[in-house]
Amino acid sequence: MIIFRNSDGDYPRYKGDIQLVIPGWDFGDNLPEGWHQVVEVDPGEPPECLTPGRQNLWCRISPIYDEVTESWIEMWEYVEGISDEPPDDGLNYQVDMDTNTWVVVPQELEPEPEA
Amino acid sequence: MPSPGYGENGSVIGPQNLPTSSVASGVWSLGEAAEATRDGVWPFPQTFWVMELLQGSSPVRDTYEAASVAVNPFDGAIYVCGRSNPASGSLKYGPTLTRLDTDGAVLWSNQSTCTGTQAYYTNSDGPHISFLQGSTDIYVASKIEASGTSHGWWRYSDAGVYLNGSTERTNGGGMCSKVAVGTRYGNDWVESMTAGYGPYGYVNWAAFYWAHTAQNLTATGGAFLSSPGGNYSATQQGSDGATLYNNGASDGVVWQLGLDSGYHNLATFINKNIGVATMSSTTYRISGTSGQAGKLSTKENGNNTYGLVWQVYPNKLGRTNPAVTAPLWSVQVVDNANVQGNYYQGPGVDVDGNIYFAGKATVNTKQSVMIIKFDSSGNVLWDRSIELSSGGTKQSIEAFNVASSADGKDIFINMKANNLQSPGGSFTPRLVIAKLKADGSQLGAFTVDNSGGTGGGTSDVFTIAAGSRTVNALSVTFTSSGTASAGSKTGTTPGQPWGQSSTSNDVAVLVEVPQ
Repeated sequence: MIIFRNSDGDYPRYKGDIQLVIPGWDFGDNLPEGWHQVVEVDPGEPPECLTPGRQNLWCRISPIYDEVTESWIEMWEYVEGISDEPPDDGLNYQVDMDTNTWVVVPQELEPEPEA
Repeated sequence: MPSPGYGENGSVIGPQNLPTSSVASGVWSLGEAAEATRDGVWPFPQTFWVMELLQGSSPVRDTYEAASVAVNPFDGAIYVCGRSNPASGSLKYGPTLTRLDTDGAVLWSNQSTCTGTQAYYTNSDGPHISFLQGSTDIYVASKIEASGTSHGWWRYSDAGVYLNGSTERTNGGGMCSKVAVGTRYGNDWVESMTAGYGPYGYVNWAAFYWAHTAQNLTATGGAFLSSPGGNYSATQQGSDGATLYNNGASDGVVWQLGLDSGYHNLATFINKNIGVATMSSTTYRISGTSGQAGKLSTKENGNNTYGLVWQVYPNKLGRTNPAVTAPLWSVQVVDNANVQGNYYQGPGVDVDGNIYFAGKATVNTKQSVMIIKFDSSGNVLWDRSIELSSGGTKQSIEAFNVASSADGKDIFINMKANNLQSPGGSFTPRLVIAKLKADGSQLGAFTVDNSGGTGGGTSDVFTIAAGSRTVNALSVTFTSSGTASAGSKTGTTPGQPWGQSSTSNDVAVLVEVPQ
């Protein structure tokens, strides 16, 4: 993902944000003054999350400036999110969409009552 | 906004007009207005507006909930479809269809005249709008509960006049109904469909399809999906995407999400053939998806250059080729650690294939809207948040879907504000439709003064800011899962149409928010 840092230090910014400064701007064109493309860093696999029903996901934080390469470097931290699959413990689960967590369903789904 | 210079060199005869529009946003002197009128730029088109659709003031009604906002790509007409409660009588949560002009003013609003039994819609599975290519007519489909669970479709003219429609009863609890229209089999080909609990109980699935033409409402039959991955409960949404008409092997694509017998999540695309009561034997499961909710959109320009866009709860988005055999690209949106419940709904696709992914993020129990715009290749173009404060207090607001204007220059966001002051001073949920420029240029605070004419409402401030979400590439695969079988139409035709048009007593409040 190509991401930018603008002249005010705001991050992340994207192609559409640049086009507000330079209409018609496209990848490969000169950036607006003070803007930088942030160098991508592959964070690898996030640490395993030991909480059932949860998984760690990579989340970008503010980039850092590398004086050696004179470039802004992508930085990551991991955050805990809902797992793709419910806990595999034989119970029935559904998603609580207010908290993004798997919750145990005490019984099977009931069909909607008819009017 | 007109070009600068009014009140200086552009004045009409008389004293120089002192410009105010540049000092106080949206405030114009009469002289400025006169000059703008002379130059044909007054009234200037609203580049940002918020339309709050209130319930009638007497009696106070339940919430008007919008299931969808849609724009007819043929004529650019804007429609909002949802439900509202007339507060009295036998009708409950009846469908409401409203047409807006490009400045957000309500042109007409129809409310169901179903009588005798309840008509019930949920917000996420409520009425949906489709358009026939090259036609100004509106097709609305929904689940209804009228002498049993049914689904149906209704056709309206762009003036809000009911033209025709049909309903079919399901043996199970249909959860979602969509109408698909196209030209493949004639100018008025209409196919309605529903998905949800099937005729064999709620653990066994499915989708029903009935095909019609506007001239001949004879149903052609149904089809259903045989439990991929075990017993299959279509817990959310249902079918969509049958506006996908192409010249390939697949005429239409239906998706559904749900749980298998182990409450593992499934997200399935189903290729089907329009016009016959069978589906192809190929279905797909998207790997690593939580299911439970999601939507699918198609590029509705007739050639489907951009294929299908799918979204799966809570935060995954992708595009597939028209034949739905492989993902073209997929992404996952990740929020910061302080966001408790983020999820996205209803991706909208514009004329150029750009995708709008909208939803909500919850921080400290308050929700805000988040919208990310992608290009057709999956690159993020911009990321925006919309926060709402009402009467000086932050209030929750969430988005359900986004529609693009016909030219792709504007977007319309279907939102629900959960605690705004209503007539009488009570705080209730409220439908909010906002129009934003598609280039993402509108940033800052926009104040809506709804105190006038609504019985003491407060000022609502919508603040649009750049977001800080992380979009990561996601690797997913499509796995063949289950088969589709021919089915037969069951149940009866209850003949319970969404009756003749009637003007709703809902009060639509247009709130102009000039920049």
